[in-house]
Amino acid sequence: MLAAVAAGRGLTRQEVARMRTGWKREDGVVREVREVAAGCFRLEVMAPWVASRARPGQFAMLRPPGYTPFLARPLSFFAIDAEVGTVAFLVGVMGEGTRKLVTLRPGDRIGILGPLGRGFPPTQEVFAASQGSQRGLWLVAGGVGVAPFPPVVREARSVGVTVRALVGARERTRLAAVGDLRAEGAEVEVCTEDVSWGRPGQVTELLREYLDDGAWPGAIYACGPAAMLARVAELVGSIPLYVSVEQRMGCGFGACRGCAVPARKGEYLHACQDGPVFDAHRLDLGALAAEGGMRDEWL
Amino acid sequence: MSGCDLTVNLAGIELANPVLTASGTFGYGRELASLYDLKCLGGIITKGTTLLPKAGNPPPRIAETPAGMLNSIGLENPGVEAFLRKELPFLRQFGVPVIVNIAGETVEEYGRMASILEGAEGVAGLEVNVSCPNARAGGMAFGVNADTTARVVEMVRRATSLPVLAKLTPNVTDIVGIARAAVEAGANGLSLINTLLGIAIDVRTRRPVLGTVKGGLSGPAIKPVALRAVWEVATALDAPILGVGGIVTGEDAVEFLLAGASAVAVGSANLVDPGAAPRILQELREYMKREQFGRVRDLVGLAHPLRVVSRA
Repeated sequence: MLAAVAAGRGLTRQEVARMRTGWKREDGVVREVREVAAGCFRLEVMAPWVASRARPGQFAMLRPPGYTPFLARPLSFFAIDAEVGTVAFLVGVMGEGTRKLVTLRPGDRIGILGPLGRGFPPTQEVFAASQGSQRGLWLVAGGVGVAPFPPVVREARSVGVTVRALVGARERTRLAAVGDLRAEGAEVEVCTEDVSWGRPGQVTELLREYLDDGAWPGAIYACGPAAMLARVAELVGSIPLYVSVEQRMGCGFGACRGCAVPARKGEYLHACQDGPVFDAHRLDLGALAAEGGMRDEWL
Repeated sequence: MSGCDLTVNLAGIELANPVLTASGTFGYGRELASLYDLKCLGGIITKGTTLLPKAGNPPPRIAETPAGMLNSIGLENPGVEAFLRKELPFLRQFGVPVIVNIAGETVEEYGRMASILEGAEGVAGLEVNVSCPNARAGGMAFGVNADTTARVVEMVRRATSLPVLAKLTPNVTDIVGIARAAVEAGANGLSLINTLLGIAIDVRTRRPVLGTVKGGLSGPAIKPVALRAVWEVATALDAPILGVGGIVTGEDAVEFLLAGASAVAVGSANLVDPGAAPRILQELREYMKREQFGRVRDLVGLAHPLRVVSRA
């Protein structure tokens, strides 16, 4: 019980509660809004409190001013710089909310709620189980799903784990973050569905080819449309797989119970508290894909 | 702030101030307890709690709408036993009145819930959810007519001496008639209103957005409907009213008080601005100071004609 813990440690109940969740609403200041791919913008915000706590794979809720659109938008941390005190988000413009976010100007204030959710597990934990970081980490990214990966690469490289990133998009102009991933030290291979760059086809096909080669990684992380995640889960067999999922959210911090995602045993987990990063085995990704995916107008 | 009396009595519950958090938007307080001291709230209304745990509806459970949102959560909650064991002890420590929102699938279940919560330490009152549109068997049906509303309230009334608020749905022809029936059946007060029934359609998939197709509309868009319900019921009945529906600012709260509510609850605003409730309370204080009202209860019903007001 919180009270008992607080009493035992001589802390106020406020302090104990904060230790548990570790997020807040910070008044961020926009530093940069820059288009990095077709319809995709890098939004950088000065938010030192959030930047000092954000972990790879976590997200923040961002809300443009006004009441239409009403809800905040969940965005993965694309860059985390605790020293400078900034975080950045990769914003794919899909609907009213994201459109408003990318019309912000340097100097504008924006409320950042975060850091939220469970991010990717620390690389050392993942690789302790899989016998040797020599086998490396693979990332599979679909479209704007590449967003959480640059901080993941940085953390993995900092403990000497090699990273191969497979990044797919519909067309070349939509590929984002390839340079960022390479700068953090990942080996990147791209594919485009319209054959405009890199390997033609879907990133899941590229993944299958690499798996067929036989040199399996110690773990795989995937982020992208639910249908892609379901396909990746089918392909990877027993290789540890962590996925970052999307679901329509209300609050983003666990109060409303809106962001249910179907779990294995016919129950629900919640993307904002139990995720957005999950051990793929816990989820029914087929059911998640069957919902129809995150369509543009919501974002 | 000196010279500013925010105390209200809501249906027999003494509140330090008239701003509460609405059911369904605040969980059981844990998430927001890390953001601010819940002690500053006038009261906390819990998530709708049922006899047995409920997993909730198939997703998607949330859709955005102009100045609002649809929800189809489906009363996901850990059940009343877990509430008593785990959540109530946490909430109790803040010293703020806790009103438990109860929902049932049968009239008998409401009675059982009330019995179980009767005498639970830290429960200041019950809010009877007869109007949730998401409960598959019964919720909507109870609240749309006076007879079934009265039966539920009667069952609760027999089982407990706690203050009872009946939370009514606006998706009815005659909310005054239903309110009257609830009061005559023993409700001490009324929560007006629950959500409106609505739908959103995804034009890209060409399918309804919500997993259950229909959901409850909340947020600023419904404020005029909520105000109208408060106005009508306050005109017809003397029973105390908790005003709920689209409150995002202190002035919104003032509108509800003026319409006849003794207190207000903040709901969807919590989702998009977690500090909303304390902010709204502060804005209410500022309004009172600016407009020179020493006691918040002097605002109640002031917008109605033929009210005689003495400003102390």
